[in-house]
Amino acid sequence: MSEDLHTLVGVYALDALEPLERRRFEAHLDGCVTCAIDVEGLTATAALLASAVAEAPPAGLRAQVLAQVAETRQDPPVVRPHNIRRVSRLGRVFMSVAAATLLVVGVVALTTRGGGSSVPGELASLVAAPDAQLVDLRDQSTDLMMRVVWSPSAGKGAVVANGLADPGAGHTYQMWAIGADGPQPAGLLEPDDKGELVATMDLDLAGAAMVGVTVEPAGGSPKPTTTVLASGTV
Amino acid sequence: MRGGVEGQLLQQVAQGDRDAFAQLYDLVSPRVFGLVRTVVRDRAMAEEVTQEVFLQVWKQAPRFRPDMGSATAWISTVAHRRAVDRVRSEEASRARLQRDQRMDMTSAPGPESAMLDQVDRQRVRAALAQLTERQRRAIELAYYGGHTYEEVAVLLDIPVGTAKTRIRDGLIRLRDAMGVGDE
Repeated sequence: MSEDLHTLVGVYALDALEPLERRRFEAHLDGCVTCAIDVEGLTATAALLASAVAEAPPAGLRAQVLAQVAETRQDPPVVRPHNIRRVSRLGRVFMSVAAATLLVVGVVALTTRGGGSSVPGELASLVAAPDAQLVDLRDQSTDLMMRVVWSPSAGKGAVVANGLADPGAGHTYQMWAIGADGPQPAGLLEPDDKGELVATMDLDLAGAAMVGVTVEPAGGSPKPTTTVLASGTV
Repeated sequence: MRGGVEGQLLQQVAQGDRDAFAQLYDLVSPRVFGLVRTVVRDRAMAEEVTQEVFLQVWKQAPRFRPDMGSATAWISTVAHRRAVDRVRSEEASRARLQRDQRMDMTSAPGPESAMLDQVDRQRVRAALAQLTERQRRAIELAYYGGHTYEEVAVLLDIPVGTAKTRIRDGLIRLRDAMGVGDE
């Protein structure tokens, strides 16, 4: 079910879903940070496809449209205290790695989110780092979606994730930098009670080809003791 | 970026500014009409749908927020969604499938498009050229053809799962090639 939903980001952005499936995916989108991030970028991409087929409309159409508009009331603005708004802004932070103006928006979004006090500023400078790299982690069998931003020069990284279900009492999620020497501990992940996480940490992925996540006993392990839940290529 | 101008106009439209709406129409109507006509094919129907699109833009402008994306992206999304909904309700799916089995979508874009869109057009064409032939075809059938991914699977004679991932992977490659999000 859920793995199917994650793969629908592309066809959703192209309106290539039947109405029923479209609604199901939109319901999923409200709670899935990473899908929301992807959908935003892919929808903008799809919109650019429109410019490739641009064609001047018949001249008479303009007057018709303007006449109709003159007689039509606009909808009142709505204030949606909604998840997607935060998600969407957060998405921008990660999509536009170099866009300082958008960063401000993202930082505001993170601040209003009520997360850790030092996270927004650190996250902002990380994402703005010219050498920032993105790693996406996906799990084909669960809802887990994760995005890691890593700045080699800063030696720091940021993690945004959702679908990190409660790992169980006495357990924690642990991230691994997987290179030629095998998996090296890369930090513990502590999601909130909704399974979401926004955090910054010291991070070194220099020798790593992959990033992975496992569930470990509280406090973490020197080597993974369970199978990798999700991984992504550096 | 031209997106900035359109975004500003849309903000004025949200305040009920009809002059701003007319300017916005002049800027984006070639893209809207061209897209709608590509999807629905029929010119008269395209005019009707284009009118509906602009009416929806006018009505819903007060509800547009910049964090939903750029103004042009929003308008194109409205246009595409309406065109697709119309063509799927009007035309039997089987007839469209038969038509598009014979047709090469790449030849669909008309030559008479507005000069304003030339830069974007070249950018998109260049980015499309970076896709594999299979990805490009799947995306064109879905977006320009207005087909669901199940229909794309039938048209290309591939499993539906393959159609889904081919479209997603191609679109991600397009996104990266066009630098969406780096602006």
